[in-house]
Amino acid sequence: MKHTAVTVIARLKPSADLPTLAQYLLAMGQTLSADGDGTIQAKLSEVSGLHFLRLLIIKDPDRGPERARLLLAAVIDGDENDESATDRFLAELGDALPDLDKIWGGCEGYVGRDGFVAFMSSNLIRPAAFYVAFKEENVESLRRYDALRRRWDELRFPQGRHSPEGPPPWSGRPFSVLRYWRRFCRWVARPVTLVPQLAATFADGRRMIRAYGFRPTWAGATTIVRGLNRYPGWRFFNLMTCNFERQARPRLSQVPVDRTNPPFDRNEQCGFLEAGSHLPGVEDRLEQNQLTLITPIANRQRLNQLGAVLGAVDSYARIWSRPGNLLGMSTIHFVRWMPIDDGRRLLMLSDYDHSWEAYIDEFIEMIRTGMDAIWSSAAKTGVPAYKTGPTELYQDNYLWHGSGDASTFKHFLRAHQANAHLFYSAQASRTVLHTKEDRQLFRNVSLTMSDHEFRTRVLENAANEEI
Amino acid sequence: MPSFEEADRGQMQGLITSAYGHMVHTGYLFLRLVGAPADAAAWLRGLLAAGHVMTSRTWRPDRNLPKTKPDYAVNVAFTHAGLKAWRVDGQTLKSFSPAFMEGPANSERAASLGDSGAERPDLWEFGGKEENAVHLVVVVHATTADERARVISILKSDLKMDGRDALQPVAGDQLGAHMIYSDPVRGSRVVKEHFGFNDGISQPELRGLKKDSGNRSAAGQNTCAAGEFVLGYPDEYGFYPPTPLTHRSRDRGGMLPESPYRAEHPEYVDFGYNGTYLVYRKMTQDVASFWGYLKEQCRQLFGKEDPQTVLWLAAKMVGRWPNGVPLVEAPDLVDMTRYCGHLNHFMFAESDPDGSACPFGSHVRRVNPRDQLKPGTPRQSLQMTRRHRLIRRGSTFGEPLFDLSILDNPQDVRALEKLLRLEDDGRERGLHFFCVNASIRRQFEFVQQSWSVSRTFNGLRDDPDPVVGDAGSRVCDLEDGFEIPGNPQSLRLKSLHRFTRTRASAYFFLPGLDTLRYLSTLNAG
Repeated sequence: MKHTAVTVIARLKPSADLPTLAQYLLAMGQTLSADGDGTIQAKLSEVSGLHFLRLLIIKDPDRGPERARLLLAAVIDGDENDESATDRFLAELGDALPDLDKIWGGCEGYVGRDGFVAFMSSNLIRPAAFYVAFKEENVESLRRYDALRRRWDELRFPQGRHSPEGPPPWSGRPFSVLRYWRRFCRWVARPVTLVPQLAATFADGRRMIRAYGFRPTWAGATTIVRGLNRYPGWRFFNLMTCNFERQARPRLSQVPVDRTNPPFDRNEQCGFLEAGSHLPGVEDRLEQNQLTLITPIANRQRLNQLGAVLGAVDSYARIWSRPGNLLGMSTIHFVRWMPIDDGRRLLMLSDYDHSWEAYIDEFIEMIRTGMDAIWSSAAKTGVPAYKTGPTELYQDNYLWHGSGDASTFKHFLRAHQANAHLFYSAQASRTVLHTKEDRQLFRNVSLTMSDHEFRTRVLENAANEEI
Repeated sequence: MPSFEEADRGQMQGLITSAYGHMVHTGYLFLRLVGAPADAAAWLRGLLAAGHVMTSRTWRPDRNLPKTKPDYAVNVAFTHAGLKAWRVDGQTLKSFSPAFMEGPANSERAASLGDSGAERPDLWEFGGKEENAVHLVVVVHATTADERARVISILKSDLKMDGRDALQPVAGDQLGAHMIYSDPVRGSRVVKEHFGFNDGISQPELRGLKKDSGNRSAAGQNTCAAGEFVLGYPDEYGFYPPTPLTHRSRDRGGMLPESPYRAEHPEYVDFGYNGTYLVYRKMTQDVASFWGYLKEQCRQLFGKEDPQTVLWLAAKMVGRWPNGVPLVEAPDLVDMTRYCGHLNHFMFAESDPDGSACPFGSHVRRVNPRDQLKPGTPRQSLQMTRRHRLIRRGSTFGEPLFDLSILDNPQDVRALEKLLRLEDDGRERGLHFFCVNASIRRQFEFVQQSWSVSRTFNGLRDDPDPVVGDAGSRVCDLEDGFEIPGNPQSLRLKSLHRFTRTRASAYFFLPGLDTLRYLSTLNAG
């Protein structure tokens, strides 16, 4: 994996001044979004290989209702097994942030700037499942795409150039024998490329069966793929394993009243929503967005089951997911899940495009059974679940149609969402679809090419696009 | 629960199911409750007793008889502030959707809907501030202007506008009309908006209301579950939409219907059953600026001001020709008057995958993306689109700036040249936009925010909706534009700015008849 998810949760001392810390982080975040007065400068764009970063204060319910923790979540370039990449990032982060003492000074174990890297490393949490939209792309290559795109736009839309012929005539996509030949070659080569993927999947499966047992692993994987009949491969698998989903009937929502906005009942809320902030409005004004969810895990059995599900998700994300496409979802840059607090809670961190509403709708449409499998871990704590028979609420301990009740499911997510005080993105206006298109158009194209060569190559790439 | 076709359509306000096509004159009374709620309730009782409120009941007295169309229709809807002033109990008030409770003037909502800068709520004519907040709207449709005047005068006299009025108008009479033209190709009657394009072509239908058309892929995409537009019926997710509930003890007369949730929550009755949410936006259209911008872009791109090319650019921005013919089906100007197919039976994914006929950023491709949302399959895209549809109601106001019929005959270049000489006459014209949806957040706000205002919708770049988006209003260096994909040459219209401006907005709840009756007795002593 060429990306590393850095997640650090540091406990704040009881004496920590939370409102001041929150204000400080918010002010720093506003400076990043060119919205603030620029008083607290964080030079995060100078941190090499940093894609996304967020900082937020979350609750620490195990140690008391007033206790809190500071969560740092970032995605950086570099091998996740290479500890030096994380250390280098943390060292650069320490230099980029204006005053570490003001941020982590109230944390237990923090000894000052000199011991910052060791302090953060000691609180690192590894993700149980990690999806990366474009495994081959790093911050530099994405910036290169920006430059290529600028040049391509200059060539496409020249300033002050008149076209005396009038509007260009409409014509369909030109037929290209080459395109079909390449598609045929890929189709023929497919079985060969499948071998290492299948081998890796079997290795993952063996590891998961050893860790969680056969039944949870099998049940977790089959629950996820139950709703994926739109893919011929999975449809065949479901048919062979009699893995069918029962038809959802019109049902009553478990929360009859629309409550997708804060404020929520404090008891059902694990995150730390900033007083007075209006979450939907703040987050939805950006092209890129972030979601931090902390949901409860009902018991140890559910934790074991969740481990198997996340193992399956992780295996799929690493081995099978195609660039910019997680089972049909094209809005996620990075998403990761990890159990925290000794397995009592599940933390989900996502960096995605567009509005929260669009994001959750896409989740429900594309991988509803996956959502059901993951949040079965929070069974009986507010996540919706539906009986399909007289007594059946769960099958193999997994929810039925839970996230299909969009209104209740959104309520559940909102109630457990924590608002980031600071959110940084290296390229805030770049969406997953942009990167997908750029990868296609600018394959084997360089900035040093002549205009003619550049245009010819890009048009060739565009014509070879598979739609 | 009964299915939609079995339901009593008499309990639903007619605005949900009918655009009242034959009633071309409209009037909107935006009122504010200033007196005693009991007086206002008495007014509502009178309105109901006189049978003024139009329901969804069929106008056909018998299946074999022709429709007996009424001369006027009246509908009533309330804002959240209005229900509060009407003294609806606090528990019921809290059970409405958050979007409705906060309203469009909420600064966060306004910002994400593109109502910032000169469109910000405190500059609106009404609905944007506490002192000009709207409490209810009475929507009047009538066949003639005289009939409309008669109905409005009756309503006003009932309001006792003689000093002890309980309800006062917030912003004068807002009158409108459907601008009717005849389609020279089809010979049918069409409605235009001020830029000159036929309007209201693609309207979703409630499943079960009419017989679905045969072609599922094209015609069927327009049919949505009733719960997308009416509370109390399953929606496209297969669940009943969230609905406002009232404690049974508050409904002493037993007027409110039973809630679908009666098994789990027997203590509540349904305040929302057969009701829905109604979104209002008063939008002015800067017609001279729209055509002037296109003229300037035409000169910059092609070195000349050609009226047919200007028309071509305008059609690219809208996604249809002025006579409603979709660009996907008829991409060339000569096809515009030759196309005889259905105006709404088309898809994007297969017909126009590269956007060279209908640009990706065009208005129709954004507000109803049909089967082209990436990266899902066409079927998934249709399903997702169906969860974000709106039934549009409303009408235009102001006189047209020019003879809009010249746009329907582009071969008459001499007449079309008027487009190049348009100058603003200083008069206000635009659209009273109303839309019906069961979830304001998931439907209207989503479409406006994620599909219209978003610069990156479906892979676009710096490309907001060129017709109803907030182009040019960003506080950054990036310039908004509009890309016209072409093969081999693409074009980009630069320095795009907005041509429609928000002058007022409000979110209403359009109650079912049972709830209206309940409201009319609420403060009766």
